[in-house]
Amino acid sequence: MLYSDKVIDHTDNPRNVGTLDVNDPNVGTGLVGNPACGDVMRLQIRVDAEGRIAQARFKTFGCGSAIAASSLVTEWVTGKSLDEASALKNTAIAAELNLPPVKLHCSVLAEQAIEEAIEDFLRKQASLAEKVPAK
Amino acid sequence: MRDAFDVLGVEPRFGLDLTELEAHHRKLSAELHPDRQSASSAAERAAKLTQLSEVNQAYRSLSDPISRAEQLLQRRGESVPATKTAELLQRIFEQRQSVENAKDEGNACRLSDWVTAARARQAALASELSAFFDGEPTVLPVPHQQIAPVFEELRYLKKIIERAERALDELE
Repeated sequence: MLYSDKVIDHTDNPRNVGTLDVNDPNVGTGLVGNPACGDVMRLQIRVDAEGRIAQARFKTFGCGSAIAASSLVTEWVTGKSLDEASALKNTAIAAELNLPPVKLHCSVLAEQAIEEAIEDFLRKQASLAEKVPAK
Repeated sequence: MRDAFDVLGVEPRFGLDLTELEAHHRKLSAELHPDRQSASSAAERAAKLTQLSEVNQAYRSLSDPISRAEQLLQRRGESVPATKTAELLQRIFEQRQSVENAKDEGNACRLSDWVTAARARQAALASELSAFFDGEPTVLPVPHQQIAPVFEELRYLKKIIERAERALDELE
């Protein structure tokens, strides 16, 4: 199969590969996968005091398109507010990477990963708020 | 709609004897083979050929434990339920990580150990499916959602094992 230049660029030079501390209250982790192709994708965000994504990291085990989609998402969401990041659509990822129809599910996976990371962060913040004793 | 069990005329169970199934398939496909149809009309030959391809497809789908289980669920009017288990995904992520690490290190020994362990896990999961499909009906039927993680893990394992074996081939 022929990958687009952008996919090749991201797989050869993946941006923001790595791990953030799962237990950090300011870090949200999204772990998603697709049993049919065996791909698993972990995407993490660190949110700053202004509610912006200061840092995004990913680790993906999968095909070139899955790696490129998650790499692209970490680039796109860095510096964005949570609302802006959750508005990210898989169609935009697929269009940017010129993904063929058989690889569209990779962009869906990347969208799910950022959504889950945001949800995880919000869940953590909510449970933190509960623990603060009322004055 | 005839499913793979109907096409091959075998009892719809999960625990099929695969050697028997293979022999049965060989017999059926020999009977339907175009070489045996020289005395038949063109229409009959075409019909046998269609049947042959159905038989082959049915055999392929019953030889695979995952699709065999899917068809058993379909017979009960159920489909494989979607599942979302964070714990399973975490385990799969770690499994893939260890395969990739062993591959990057060129460690054939660790790769083949992993494959052995993963095959044992596959067998354990398959016996869970077997108990679900072929076991004595319990008073309270097991809700089919309970086997969803088993399906999902089997699917992932199949792909990761394929990958690990490809890596092993490249190393050898």
